[in-house]
Amino acid sequence: MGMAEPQKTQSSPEDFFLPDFCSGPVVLVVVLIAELVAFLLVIARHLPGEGINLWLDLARLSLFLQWIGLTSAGVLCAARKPLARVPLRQAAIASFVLLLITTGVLSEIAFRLSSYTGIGQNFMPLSHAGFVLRNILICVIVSILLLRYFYVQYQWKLNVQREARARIEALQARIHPHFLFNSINTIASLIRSNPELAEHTIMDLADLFRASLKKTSPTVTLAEEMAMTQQYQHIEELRLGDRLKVNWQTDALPADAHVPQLLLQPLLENAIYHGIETQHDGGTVEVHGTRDADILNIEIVNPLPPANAPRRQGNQMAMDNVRQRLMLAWPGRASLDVTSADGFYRVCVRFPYEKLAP
Amino acid sequence: MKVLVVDDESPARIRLKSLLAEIPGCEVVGEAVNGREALRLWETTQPDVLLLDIRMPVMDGLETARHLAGLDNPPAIVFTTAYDEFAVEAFNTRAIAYLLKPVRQAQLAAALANAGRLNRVQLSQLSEQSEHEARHHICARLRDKLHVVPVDTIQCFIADQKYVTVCHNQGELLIDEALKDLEKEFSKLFIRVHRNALVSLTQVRSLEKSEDGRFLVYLQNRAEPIEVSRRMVADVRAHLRNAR
Repeated sequence: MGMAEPQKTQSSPEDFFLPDFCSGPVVLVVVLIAELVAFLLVIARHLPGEGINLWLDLARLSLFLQWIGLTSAGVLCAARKPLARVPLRQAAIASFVLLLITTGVLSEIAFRLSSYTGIGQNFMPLSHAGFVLRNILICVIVSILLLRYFYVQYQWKLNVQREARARIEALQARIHPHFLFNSINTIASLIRSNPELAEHTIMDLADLFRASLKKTSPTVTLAEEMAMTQQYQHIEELRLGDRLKVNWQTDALPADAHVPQLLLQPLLENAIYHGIETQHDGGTVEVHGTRDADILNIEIVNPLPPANAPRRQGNQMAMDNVRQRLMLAWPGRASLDVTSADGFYRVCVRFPYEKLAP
Repeated sequence: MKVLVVDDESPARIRLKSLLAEIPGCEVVGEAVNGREALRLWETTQPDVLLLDIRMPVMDGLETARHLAGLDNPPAIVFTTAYDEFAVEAFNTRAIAYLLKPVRQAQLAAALANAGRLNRVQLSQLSEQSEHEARHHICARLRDKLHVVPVDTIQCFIADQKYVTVCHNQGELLIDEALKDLEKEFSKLFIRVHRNALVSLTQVRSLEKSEDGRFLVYLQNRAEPIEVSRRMVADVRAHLRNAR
C-alpha cells in the first residue's frame, strides 16, 4: 500500500484517510468507479462484432458491481469510526480485508441466488469457485488502487491545511524586538526608583507577549483588544514621557464586536515608532472609532516627522500583516487604507460588526 | 572622568546616571535628549566621554558622532542601543565601543575604562556604510563654539580658495570641507550651478538671464542671486522643471 507513516494513530474520524462513505458526493464517486470497472471488464471481455449482446452484458455486470460497490461503501461507512482509532497501517489493511470479504460474500450470494432461482442462469459461469475467486482477485486490484487514491488525496488535503496554518502563524503579529529591549530598560530603571510601577509594567509586558507569542491569531472582543492596546500605550508612556499623547475617541464602537487579537496594537505601535519617537516634541496619536450601521471604522492618525529628520524604515510589513489578517477574518468585507497627507499619516481600518459567537 | 549622557528617553538617562554614580572617579557633567543638544552641551561641559544613544529624534547618535569626529580634540564615544542589529554588526567589525541596554554595571565600567579616543577612520567608514550618508546638519567650529545648522535651512554652499561658506537662513558659516564631497553627499537636495557653488533645490525660486547675458539663480531667502555657469544652465533648468 505504500503507507508512509505506519504507526500514526488518527485522532478523530475527520482526520481519517478514508472519506465518509455515507455522504452523497462519495457515494456518487463509488457509483462512478463501479460503472467504470464494469465498462473496463466488458471491453476486456468482448471484441466488437462477436455477436454477443454487449449492452446486455454491461447491464448485468453493472447491476452486480453496483451492488458490490454500494454494499462496500456501506460497510466502510459503518467501520469508519472504529477504524479511525487504530494505527494507519492496521486501518488500511482492515479496510482492504473488509472489501475482499464483502466482494467474496456478495459473489457467493449472487451465485447461489442464480442457481436456486434460475434467474440470470445463462449469464453465470459454470465454475462456482472460479467465479468467486475471480471476483476477489479483481477486487484486490481495484481496492489497492482505490485505497491508494484515497490515501494520496488525504495527504494532499493535509498539506493544504498545513500550509494555511503556517501562513496564519507567520502572519501572527510580532512585537518589535526594539520595543522589548527598550521596555526592559525602562523596567530596569523603574526597579530602583518605583518598584511598584516596575512590577505593574512587567505584568503589562507579559500580557502583550503572551498575546503576541500565540501561534494563531485568536478572536477577542474589541474591548479586550483596546484594553491590551492601552496596556501597550502605558509602557510607551513611561519611556517617552510627555512626548506621547494618545487621544482615544472610541465611544461609538460596540465593546462586544469581535476582532482578531492584536489588530489595533501594531497600528498604535507603528504610529508611535514613526510619528512620535522621531520627533523632539513628540505629538498626539488620534484614535477615532465610528460606526456605520454594521460597519465599524477605526482611524489612527499620527503626525509625520519633518522632512529633514532621521526617518525610520519598515512600516510596510506591519501594515501588510494587519491587512492580511483582516482579509483572512473577513474575506472581501474588511479593508485597511493608508493615506499620508498634510503632515499626517492616517490608517483607516474597516470591518463588519460581528458579535462573538456564544 | 567627565561623562555626558545622551538619550531621548528619561528612564534610560536615569538608569545610566544611577549606574555612573556608583563608579568611582566618574562625574556626570550633563545630559542631553538628542544629538544637537549634546553638541551644544559639549562646548560648556567639555566631557571626556559621551554615552550616546543611537536612535534619537532631531539628530541621531551616528550623525552626532560624525560631527564630534571633526573636532580637533574629540571626546571618546560609547554608543548605547536597546536593539539595533545593523549598527551593532558594524560596531563589531570596526571595533567601536557600544553598550546594549539595559546596560550592565560591569560592562559600563569596563567601557569607560577602555574608552579611547574616537577613531576618525573607523567612524568615517561607519558613516559611509550606514544609511546616514547624508547628514541632517552641518557643523562648524567657530573659536570655542560648535555651530550646528540644519541642512534644510541652508541656501547655498559657496567655495572660496580654501574654505566653503555655508549660507543659511540665520547667517553664514565657514567649513573646512570640499565642495565636491558636499555635492556628492547632498546630491538629492543641492545642485551644482557653478564651479564654486551649490544651491538648495528647495530654495531656488527662478532662473533668469541678466542684461549683460549672464544666467542668475534667485533663492527664496536670499536677496542677491547666484551666478550659473553656461555649462550648467541646461541642468538647472531640467531640475527646476522636475521640481514642479
